[in-house]
Amino acid sequence: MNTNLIEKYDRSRINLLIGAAIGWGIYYGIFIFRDQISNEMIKGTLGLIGLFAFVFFLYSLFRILRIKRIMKRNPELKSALENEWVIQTRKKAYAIGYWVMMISVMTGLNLVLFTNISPKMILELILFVGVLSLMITFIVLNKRD
Amino acid sequence: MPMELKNKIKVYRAMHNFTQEDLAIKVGVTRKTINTIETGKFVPSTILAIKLARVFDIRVEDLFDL
Repeated sequence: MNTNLIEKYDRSRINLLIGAAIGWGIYYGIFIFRDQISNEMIKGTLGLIGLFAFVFFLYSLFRILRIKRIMKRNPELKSALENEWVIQTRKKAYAIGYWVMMISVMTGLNLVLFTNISPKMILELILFVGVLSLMITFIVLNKRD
Repeated sequence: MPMELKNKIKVYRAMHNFTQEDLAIKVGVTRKTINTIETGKFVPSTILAIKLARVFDIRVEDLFDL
């Protein structure tokens, strides 16, 4: 197995995940808070930025899936890229993401009860935070080498 | 208190003139995995520990110690 190939895919996988996290953060962040802005000009500009971010997010996801497909065709590459440390890091990211979601849900429920924030907004915030926290945790754990 | 698993991967790597990448390719993992094992951040499975020991042609106990 070519060492450059493993390193290349390992690096591009994490870079694509960073891209997906940035794309998601901008796209969904704008999507949630766009309705709070009254200025049509700013709203339109933000909508355009959000659209670009969404396309970037989808592109990054598509490239990640393409790496998965390449891995499927090459079992040696797959076992090197999906080694036990990567699996452990992913499990840790899921665990942290789970607790972030739980805290978001509890905070959100209290906010709905005691403020006039709409439940729809809270649900969107939970989705935003949940997806983002999972990706960021995996990136941080992966970069800590 | 949790016990720490010490290893001599860096020493044996230097003896065999292997880079982390060379060793990673021999046992079929990424360079990062070798680095995290070497620095004690990650404890490898028995299978990986045996694979590592086999690369250096030594016993697992010679490579890892409590």
